[in-house]
Amino acid sequence: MPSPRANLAFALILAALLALLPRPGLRFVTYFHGPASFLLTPVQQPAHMLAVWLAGTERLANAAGAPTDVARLEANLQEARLELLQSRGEADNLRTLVRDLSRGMELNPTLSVKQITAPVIGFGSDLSGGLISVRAGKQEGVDTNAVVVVKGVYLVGRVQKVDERTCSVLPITDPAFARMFKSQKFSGVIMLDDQRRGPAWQLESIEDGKLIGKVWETKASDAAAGAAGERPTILPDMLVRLADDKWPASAQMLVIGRIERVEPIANDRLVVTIRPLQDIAHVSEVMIRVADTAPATPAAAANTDKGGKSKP
Amino acid sequence: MKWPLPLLLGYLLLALEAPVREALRLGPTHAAPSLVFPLIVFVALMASTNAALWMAFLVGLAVDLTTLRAPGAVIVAGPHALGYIAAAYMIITLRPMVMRKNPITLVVLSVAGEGLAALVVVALFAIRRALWHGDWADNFFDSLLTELGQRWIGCCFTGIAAVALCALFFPLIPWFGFQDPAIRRAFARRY
Repeated sequence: MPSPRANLAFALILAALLALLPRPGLRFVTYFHGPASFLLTPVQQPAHMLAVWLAGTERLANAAGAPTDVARLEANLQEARLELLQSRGEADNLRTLVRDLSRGMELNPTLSVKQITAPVIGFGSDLSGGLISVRAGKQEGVDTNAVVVVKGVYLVGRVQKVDERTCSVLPITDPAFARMFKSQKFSGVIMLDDQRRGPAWQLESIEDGKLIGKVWETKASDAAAGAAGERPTILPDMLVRLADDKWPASAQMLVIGRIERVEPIANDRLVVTIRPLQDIAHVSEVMIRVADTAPATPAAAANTDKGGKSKP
Repeated sequence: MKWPLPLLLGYLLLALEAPVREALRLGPTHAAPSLVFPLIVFVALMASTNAALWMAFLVGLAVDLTTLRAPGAVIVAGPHALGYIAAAYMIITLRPMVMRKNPITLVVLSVAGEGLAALVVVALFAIRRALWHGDWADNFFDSLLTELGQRWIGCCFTGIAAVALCALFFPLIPWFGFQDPAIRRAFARRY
């Protein structure tokens, strides 16, 4: 039987080989994440909730000094605005579709969306990993690339990996998010007020949890400029919403954040820094938006509500 | 060393590590205290060489297996296991020269040991970056030097965590079942 020292030497060599495996080989090792996080979750999730509660960030974000009723009405207003903007976007898309159909293109059926409410478990042991575990997985119907929001309208991340009971979310504030969308720029639209769309914004980099990107003029912003042809003024505190064709239609117009800084660069261009209004690391619960494949009947809706986990 | 208590402590500290690190991290950086590393230092100071190295390996591997890395949501198993073993080996080498029963030793060696572990972890990611290109490459970090800097700042925080953990570890010494007669005698008297 080999001595403990020989076993240790073998373990060391194995660890060194595993540490240097190329990216495709890592998929096999990743299988072990599920059991490892399954063991830790019973302690980790309550600890995360306690940490969020003690830090008070969620309470501050929820209340911000306002009474609960006002906060709730504010949230309802935000959701109504989101629905209005999405309806307008949908109407625009339908117009385009009608035009395309007349040219003989196929119509894609529109998917409805359900929001799965799920508790946040937290980061991995090493914060540099960047991914956050959330307690909702294949069993709840979560898909890879599902959009993750807080309070229904604030975009906080995207699902990267789904296990049976948990999934891993990449926050939009993590530098890896910018690296991931480097080739297919993540973009949004700057809202001049509650209704009017301004110029487009494209993510370039992420620093200190803030999203930095360039401003691009679009047809919508030209329309906003009006007959006088004046460019709309971009000011700090303006809202930036998601407007990116590569993201699901149901995710369009979700709130990315508010403008914190506007800096002019060469050729009259602007660089805008956005501060997200919600941070997934500082909330105890998120909503995962997934395509609702269930039939839209009252009975099905009642069944979904009975579970208490998802709401249409 | 009797394994159940160190393993139980390791499990609890590892489970608490992520929320505590997130709550106490320095702004948006990765600089944050480690709860589980002072346990490795403590075991490396008190236990036999083999037990200390195995403890470091197991905890390091657990850290690796519970950290999904973006982009791609993959696990890189090994960097922390090797880093923690290197740190444990350094402490085992140094322990004849230090006062093992002094809590300050635990604090100082926690800072130094985690500094070495951070260096090994980042060095392994640097080797990965140099080895693999194209589809096999990983881009887990923008700048490895920044990552190392942040981890070294985190080491100082780990020292603070070690101060608090001394109050937990030292009273439990009789239950760890360390073999060293000097430690058993000293702590049998004190507690």
